[in-house]
Amino acid sequence: MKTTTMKLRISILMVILAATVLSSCKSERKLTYYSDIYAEKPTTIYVAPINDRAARKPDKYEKDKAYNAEVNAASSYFLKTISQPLISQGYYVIGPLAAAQIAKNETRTYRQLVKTDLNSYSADYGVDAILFTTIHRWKEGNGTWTVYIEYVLRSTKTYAELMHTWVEATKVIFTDMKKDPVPMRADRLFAKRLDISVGAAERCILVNSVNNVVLKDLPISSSRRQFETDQHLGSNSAYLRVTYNETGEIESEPMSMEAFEDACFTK
Amino acid sequence: MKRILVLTLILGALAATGCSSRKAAGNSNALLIQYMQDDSQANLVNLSKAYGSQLSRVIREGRPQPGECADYAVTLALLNHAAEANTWFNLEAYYYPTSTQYVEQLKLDLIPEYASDNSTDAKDADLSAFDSKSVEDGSANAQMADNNQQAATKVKLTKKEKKKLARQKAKAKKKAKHEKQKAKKAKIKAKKKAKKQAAKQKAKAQKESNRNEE
Repeated sequence: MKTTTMKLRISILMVILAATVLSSCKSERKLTYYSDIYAEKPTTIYVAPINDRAARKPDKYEKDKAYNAEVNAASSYFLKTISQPLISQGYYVIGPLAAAQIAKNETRTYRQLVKTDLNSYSADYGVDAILFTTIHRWKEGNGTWTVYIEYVLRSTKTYAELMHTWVEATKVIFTDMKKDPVPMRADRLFAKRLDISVGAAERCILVNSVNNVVLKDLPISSSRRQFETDQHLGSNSAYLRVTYNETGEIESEPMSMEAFEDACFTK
Repeated sequence: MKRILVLTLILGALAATGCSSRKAAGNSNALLIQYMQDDSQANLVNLSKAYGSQLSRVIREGRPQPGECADYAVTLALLNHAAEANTWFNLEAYYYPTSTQYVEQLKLDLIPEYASDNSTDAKDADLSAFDSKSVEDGSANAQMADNNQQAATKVKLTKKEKKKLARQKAKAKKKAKHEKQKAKKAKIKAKKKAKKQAAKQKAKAQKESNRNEE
């Protein structure tokens, strides 16, 4: 009798453990999380100009020239690399210069755009969805750099929110015995190739990693034969923590809304 | 020993040519970042040159990435090279038909005089003749822009490119011949099958009529 109850308890514990492990890996299936994308089948995406709330204006921060250059370079690079993961998923993405020309014709502010009707983009430019991105904040401390980014993909036809992800991305800064930052070889080569400082390169690599993690999670576009073959796969959660560690590996895990808001919006 | 040396030299040359397109891409990325931070005329000219040299290489090897031709066209339009800009806009629409609508709108905004020019001959235009080194402010060098337009109609290929083109043509010819023969065989097979079926039906009908007579 005792042995059977013990066995029962152990089996119940195993089931609970298995359920928690499975639920902690990914939040939902792509079919559920991106149901609007599978229904609407957008193929052409326009990337709206970045709402960079962390931009460093030279007139406001005169003395921090190097830091300003790093943060602003990362923002520019973020816009440049945002299209690549979308293209790899089969979407047609309007290039940054063409997108800038389209943005010149727009009189609405970023806040107004996010809330109002976007049918004009579908009618005039043939755009199926617009990707709005906001860089909320850069944070330094404890041997890491952290950036808080928000991605919103909205349909231009139904105005539905096709994807909304908040990301806390952290890059571990390698330091020596004196706790001075030591750039990795990959960072130095990257900086040389783009003709920017190593600090800017490290930030650029971080934002590029975030783009890959968030945007490659989108379903494969309906323009590809593989459309709908990934419905059973797990999707990212709405609030994500991405870590770029010293070895260059990228790890992502879900985080709570409260933890994100606490870290991003409080000093 | 000599063979090993020759092999290593060939491999090194191949690796160097492979790296050059990556270097060009890196350069255009760096210049794009510079231009996005400071949209001066000098940065625009440099960016346009980088795009031009990168794209003329990419198009010979395959298909450019979505939006690349349109972005290059935008730089050319901003530098008052309307004819070349029109060609590159048309190329974008040719490679990616889904881009036609926004390309037409951009043409209306930037080069309205070419808004109705959707010539598909853009694909056959010699792209190497677009002298990326001479991209300058159009207001100062309108003559240069005209020369570029005339040069675009001539075909200039190196020996290697001519051989490659000849090989590709021969391959395509062989493939077309093979497919023609395949189609002919399939036609003959279908005819034979139809004849057999007709004969079977005739025999069946005859048997039935014989039975009825009996």
